[in-house]
Amino acid sequence: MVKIKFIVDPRIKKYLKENPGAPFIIGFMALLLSCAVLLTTGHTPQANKTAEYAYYLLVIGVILQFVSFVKEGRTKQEEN
Amino acid sequence: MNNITKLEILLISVIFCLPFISLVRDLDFSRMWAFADLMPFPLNLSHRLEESLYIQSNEGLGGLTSPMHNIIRFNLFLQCFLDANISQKVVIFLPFIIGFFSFYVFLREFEFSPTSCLMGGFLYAFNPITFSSFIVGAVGSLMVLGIFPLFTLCLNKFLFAKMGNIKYLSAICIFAYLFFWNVYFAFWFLFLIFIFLFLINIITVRFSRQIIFAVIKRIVLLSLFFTLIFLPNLIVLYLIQQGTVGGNIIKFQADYSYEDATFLNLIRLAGNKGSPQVEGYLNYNTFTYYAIFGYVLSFISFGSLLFRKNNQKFILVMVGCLVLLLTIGCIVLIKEHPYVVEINAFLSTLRNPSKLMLPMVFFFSIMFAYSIETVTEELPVRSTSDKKLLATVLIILSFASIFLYNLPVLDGTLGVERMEGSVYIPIDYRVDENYYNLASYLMNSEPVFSDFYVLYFPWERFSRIEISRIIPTYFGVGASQGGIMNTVEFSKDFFEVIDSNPPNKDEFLKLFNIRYIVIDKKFKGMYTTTTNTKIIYDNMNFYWYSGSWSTFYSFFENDDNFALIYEDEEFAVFKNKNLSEPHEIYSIVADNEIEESILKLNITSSEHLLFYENFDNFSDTHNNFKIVGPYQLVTEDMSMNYSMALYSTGIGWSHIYKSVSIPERGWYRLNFFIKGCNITNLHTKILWYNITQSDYTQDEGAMRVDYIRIYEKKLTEGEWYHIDEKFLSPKNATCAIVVILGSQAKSYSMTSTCVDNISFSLNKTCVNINKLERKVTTLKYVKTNPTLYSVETNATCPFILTFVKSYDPYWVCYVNGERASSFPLYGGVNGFLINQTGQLEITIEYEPQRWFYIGSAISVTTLIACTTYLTHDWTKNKNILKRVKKWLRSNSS
Repeated sequence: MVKIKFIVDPRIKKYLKENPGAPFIIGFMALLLSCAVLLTTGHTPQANKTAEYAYYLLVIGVILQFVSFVKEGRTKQEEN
Repeated sequence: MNNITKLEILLISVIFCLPFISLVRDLDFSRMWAFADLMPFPLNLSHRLEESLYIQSNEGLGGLTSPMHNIIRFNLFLQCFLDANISQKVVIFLPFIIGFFSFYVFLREFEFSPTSCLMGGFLYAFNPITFSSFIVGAVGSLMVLGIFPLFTLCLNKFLFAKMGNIKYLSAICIFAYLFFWNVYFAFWFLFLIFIFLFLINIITVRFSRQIIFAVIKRIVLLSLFFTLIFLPNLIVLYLIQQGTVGGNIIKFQADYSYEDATFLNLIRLAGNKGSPQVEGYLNYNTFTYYAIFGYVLSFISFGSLLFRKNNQKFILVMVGCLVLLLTIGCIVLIKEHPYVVEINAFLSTLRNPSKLMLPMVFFFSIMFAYSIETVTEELPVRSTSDKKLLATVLIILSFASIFLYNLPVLDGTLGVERMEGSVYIPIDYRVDENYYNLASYLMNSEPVFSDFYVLYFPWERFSRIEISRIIPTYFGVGASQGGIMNTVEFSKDFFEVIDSNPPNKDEFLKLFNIRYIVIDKKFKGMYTTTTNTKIIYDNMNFYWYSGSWSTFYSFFENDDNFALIYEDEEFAVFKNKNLSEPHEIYSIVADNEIEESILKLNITSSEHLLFYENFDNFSDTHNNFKIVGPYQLVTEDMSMNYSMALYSTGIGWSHIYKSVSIPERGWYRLNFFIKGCNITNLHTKILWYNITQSDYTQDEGAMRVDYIRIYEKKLTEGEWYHIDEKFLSPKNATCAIVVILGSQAKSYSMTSTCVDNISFSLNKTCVNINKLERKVTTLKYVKTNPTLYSVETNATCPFILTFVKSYDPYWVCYVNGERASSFPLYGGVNGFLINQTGQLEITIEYEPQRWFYIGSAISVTTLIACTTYLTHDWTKNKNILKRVKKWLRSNSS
């Protein structure tokens, strides 16, 4: 049996742990970029639809960042 | 501001001034400006003083002034010291300067680096939203944007600091009084900023019960102070609310303005279609070369979320982004469901997304500044010199992005010369000197000219903007008028009479105190053409009359009742020979029969009813109704008088209707008594038709439907309420159906509505201006101020006192101390029916002015109290008083 193992840089792992919203925010940026491409090719309705998804990703990303920030802050306060 | 040095202030001032000067390099500062919503400033200080002191506009036919008193008072203050032209430029550019510095200080207070503050400040002052606000002349909203960072700092310190300091409350009140130039924008900005601050403090402060109570107390105190400070504005807002035009117009405006409010546009601070002047700039759904930089800025700003740090700056960014997304969500929601703006008066202010877009700039700029700071600090370069070089390149690129994004307005005039949309026809942003020359000619050759109205042709919104402050006695709706527009139908009738070119134009114009007719030969507007055309059209709730100047000229040229008193290449001025004395207030003899009854229904039995429904299972235990009729519709109330009861069931709600023919165009009065139980949606309507209509099944097919929303009238359930409303029939209407509907309730079986004494009549005192056949007598009157007039007359019979000012039900008249209310004479000006005879002392007064005086006094007292406290606090800390005393003592010895 073949096993595929992804080796993730520990720094990235740490970063993603600290920033759970980051993948969504990066996803938002990628979609925004694709929106720009769609606009240049004249596909305005598709661009607007993609932008909607980008918006949802951004909302999720920001909420995750917010929650993790608050959670971490509370843990630190309790430790002190 | 403790961490900002004087050198830093000097440096950033220089850095800000250089690009700013280059942006406005080609503007002509030597002349007065007037474009879009920007009015020229009145040269006469007394005009400005009247604007500040009275809520009835002293321009045109009057009308309620806008609630933006703060900017008017600020302008008055400036004009006391500066020339009108210079004052105008100060008012226009001050928001940019204040905006930049206030945002800089805000960021510095949160320990951002000077470079990131500078970049943030630039983006805050120079972005599509601020530039488009400038292009549409919305300086009020710009100033709100400008002052809010400082306001937010003070608000945070007052509400959420451990010891809420009164000095911050005083500062908040002073900022609000001086700089909240547009109360609608300020309200929505404050609303979002409050959410922003609340979320920040939830993260940073551990809320105990004590803190929560302290914060609530401070919020109550702040609300109280705000109420006191904004009392005059609130009074005017209340009055506007009373006369606000219908919801359909608001929804229509929202439909249009939100059309481009897509996420893709909003994310780069664009998407407001509500300002046609900037359509070419903001209305981009396509990928233009400058829009690329909008995306670049978005990338930089939202990229800030990827650089998490456990400090307060990141909290600002995160919460800012959250509120920004919430705002975008709200805008998109309104775009999808525009009827939201009809729900209440507060939401109706959101008919244009700009009110929510302004706070977006604030949050967007915070994120942008944070990104710049983080990227420049954490560049993955080891050498310090390389790091500095790379940081400089990045800053230059970001700086360039800000300006390149706004490329269409970088023409040296901030776009006022170039911006145009499909609707907007650009005019010169400067007021033509010839308008001033015309005004001075009229003043010199006709010293009494300001006692009469001036009819101006071609009459468009932009011609009003040009002359509004130069010839303020124009015949039309006041330029600074708020929401009350009672002259819509009247203005249409008026222009239609002129358009028919009747032979007795002089007499007709005399009725409206019009002595001068100015033909502007060079005006270029929406409908001015060289061919002999003319058009009457509706725009902004008033009818306008435009076309080629030669057409209007020909109306008066060959009429012996008009004399050509002035003509050059620019203007022609005609004078009405039939009008020698001011005729703003006059009497017309009233007919004996003021009203012609069309429908009368005093319920005595069920026989008059055209339509009824029979609900057998009805059992009424409410209000002691006794059912006597065979169809359970005619009932007996407690006084043993008959009335009609409309019972609703689960099937629907019952209703009655009556079709009547309309003898002529005019004001119709519907009058009845109503009593309800468990009422919801209780309403009555009049459907107007241009064909004879005997049956009513649905609203479709009617020329117009007028509603009486009884459920809005706060009637007490189970008590009789008198409804008395007037409606102007549409032109060419020949038939009307009066429909009185029972109530709709969640539980239909518990609903009942009683109606009685229904009367529908033609009010002859309000007939169409086409049919004026009454005896007119000029009266001598004294104008004390724009809200108070006094008349003395000797009457031999009852008469209608005509007061040629835009109709407003709050205009009242006291005849020998007895009060009489105003009714809409000719459909648009004020009429008072006076029954007394003999020697009469009459006072015409705009009643809410009294409230305004009291409100203004309270507001100014609050401001003085806040200023005194702040000054005392400041001098105490600086020991200035001690120093002054010491200096005085040393001088005296």
